Amino acid sequence: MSQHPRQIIHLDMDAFYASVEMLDRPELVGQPVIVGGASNRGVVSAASYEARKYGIHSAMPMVAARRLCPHGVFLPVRMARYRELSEQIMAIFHRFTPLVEPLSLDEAFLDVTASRALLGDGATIAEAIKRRVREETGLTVSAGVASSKLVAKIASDLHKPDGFTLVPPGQEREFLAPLPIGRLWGVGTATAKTLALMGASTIGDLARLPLALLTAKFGPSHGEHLHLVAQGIDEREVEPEQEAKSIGNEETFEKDLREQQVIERELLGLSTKVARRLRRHGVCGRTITLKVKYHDFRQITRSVTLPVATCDEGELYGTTKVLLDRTEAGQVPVRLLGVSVSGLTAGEAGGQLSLFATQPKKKGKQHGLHAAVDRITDKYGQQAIKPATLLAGEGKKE
Amino acid sequence: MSLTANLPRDAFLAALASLQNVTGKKGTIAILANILIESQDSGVLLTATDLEIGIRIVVPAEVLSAGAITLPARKLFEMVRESSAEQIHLEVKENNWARITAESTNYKLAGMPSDEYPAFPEYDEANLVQLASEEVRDLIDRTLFSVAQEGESQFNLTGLLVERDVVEGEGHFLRAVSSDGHRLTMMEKKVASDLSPLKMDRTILIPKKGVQEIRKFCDNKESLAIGFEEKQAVVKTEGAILIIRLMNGDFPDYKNIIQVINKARHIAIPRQPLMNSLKRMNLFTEDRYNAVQFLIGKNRLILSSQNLDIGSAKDELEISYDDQEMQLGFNGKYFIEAIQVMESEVVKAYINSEESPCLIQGDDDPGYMSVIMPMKI
Repeated sequence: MSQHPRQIIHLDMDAFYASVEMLDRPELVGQPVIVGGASNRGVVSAASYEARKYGIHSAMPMVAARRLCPHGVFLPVRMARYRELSEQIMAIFHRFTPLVEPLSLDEAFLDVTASRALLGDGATIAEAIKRRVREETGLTVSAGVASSKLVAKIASDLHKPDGFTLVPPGQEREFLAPLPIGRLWGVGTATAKTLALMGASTIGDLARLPLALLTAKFGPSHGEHLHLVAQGIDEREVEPEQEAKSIGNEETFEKDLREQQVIERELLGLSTKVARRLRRHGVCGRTITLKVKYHDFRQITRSVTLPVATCDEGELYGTTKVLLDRTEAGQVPVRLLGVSVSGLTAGEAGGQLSLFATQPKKKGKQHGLHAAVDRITDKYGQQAIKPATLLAGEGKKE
Repeated sequence: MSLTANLPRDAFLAALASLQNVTGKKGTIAILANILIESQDSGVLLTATDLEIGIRIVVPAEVLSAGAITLPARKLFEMVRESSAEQIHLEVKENNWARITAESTNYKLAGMPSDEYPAFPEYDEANLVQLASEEVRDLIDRTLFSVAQEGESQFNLTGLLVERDVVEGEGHFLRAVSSDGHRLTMMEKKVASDLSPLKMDRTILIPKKGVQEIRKFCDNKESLAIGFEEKQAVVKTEGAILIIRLMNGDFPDYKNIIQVINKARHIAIPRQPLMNSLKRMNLFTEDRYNAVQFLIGKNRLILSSQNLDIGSAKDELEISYDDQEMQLGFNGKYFIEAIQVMESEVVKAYINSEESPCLIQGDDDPGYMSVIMPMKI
């Protein structure tokens, strides 16, 4: 691999949600646009570059953002629309290489090592992708080109918006050296603080620290990781999106759950989430697994395989509730609950229609119901619509 | 004194074999992996149970000394099976050890005390009705296949529904109904016996495994006595008793489903050729759903299947049909199983739309009906 340096491009859409809003409503261009949760308790999902000048950044509470920029344009999240554009953008990426690893709706790694013979070097490809995205969607994307994921990602962030940064092979160290260590993958606040005490505030400083010192301070694996990334060494491959083998959700509770009723309510919440995720991925699954971790950290799983794949929360909940009876939940405090579905198949249930419960007509209705609920969730968020049973838990939780 | 007996090898082996299915598996109470052996006047009484199903079989034996013991079911069965002796000698020693002698071979087998074995359920002889085993066998054979697998589907579909009808002037009927949620099979049979003594107020839902055991009881016997009690079904033959815990729960409203099926339009298909053709189509279906396409046209039925990885298959059958062309999808396995248990030369399949249930009947299969939901393909 070191003989033939890889060419990796990291592509990151600029202020994606906010840019999409401005794309759909050109009159907003040039204004501080803030996309986020509708309620005051929501947080900022994206802020346009104009809004960022006011100090607004994503994950900031909406209330704070309103204070910073009272005349800003505050918009709700339109996930479906973003997803639509995201698909379009990912499709453009795929024209240049099959090795596309999406990180989120607006971000992806591309390995174009093998595409160079056909399409030119990494820089040429990155420029072409930027052009195509702009021409076909009207949005801008920032690109970083380097020999590893680590460096490509740092590079793409360097000259936003509409940025382009090329780090030629062999110059990774020089490129990283002046940057603050916080930019490195695996360096959080705690690590940064410790490193600062050791005299390292830039990546270059870190690169000069002996490996032995780092492993002594951070343990063998984290220490070695820091040592390598500081040199710009990152052997991680670009992993094209794989079909999920299972879809699930689990939750660790702040306080152990004791009451059967409370446990069942959490189960309903999890089932609802998992069913939505299944539908979002356009899949159904046959094998339903319930995971229970007790207060003493003992963990068990119970699963059942249905005759027909499902993506219905009611069926998921009903099934997991039966599985729950086969655990000690209710007698022994529960620390964590998890629901997952595997044996995934595309779309509805392989087409086999049911004789009872879900009559064909009813199934059609249920379909409509799922679609409507999903649309509401997409538009107004997870809290907007949910089984009424889950409302009862609200007070206790907060 | 402790139990000492000589048992005829073949009868002992047959009894042990019948008990194997209901001895407890790993993870249940340890003693349930054993069978209880007790002396009686006429021989030795063997008992096995998994707490859902209990079976008792009498083996005629020469009892030299009365007593009881429990011994590991599997090991005992294997020992007797491997022996070529005509007679097995069993002698209980101290500390629940059993000494077993078969010809030149001596075994010492560790047992457990008989008083720790769960009590066998009581039942009332007065609740039993004598039925021809032929009739019971037929009811089971024609419906067992579509009982839902355990762990699959809703719990209440993992059993066979049994109902009784007394029709004034016509006689007494027994009906068995099974469904796995995608198909439903019903067999109704007029029986020679008077069913009035049967207590069938509650929903009689017999777990699949229990039905399989009843089916085994039908073999080599002219008749069996069957009864239902509050919590259990009792089946008795000469020298053997089977007690099955009934399932709690309701069976879906199958009558309503059957009633609303529109019987205006049907196709008549020769049964054997259809079955053979479906088996050929099944070679090319996707593993799980066995989707076979039925293209129904004037007097012909074109069956086809395809598997994206392997290839496709197509066949044509002559049928009698003279109505609008239709295209339906079915799980080929469901169709095969439904018509496999029929006898009619020609089966009638009532079809309506690609989403409505298809009802299958045959002129020479009175009382039998199978309903299969199509697949969307």
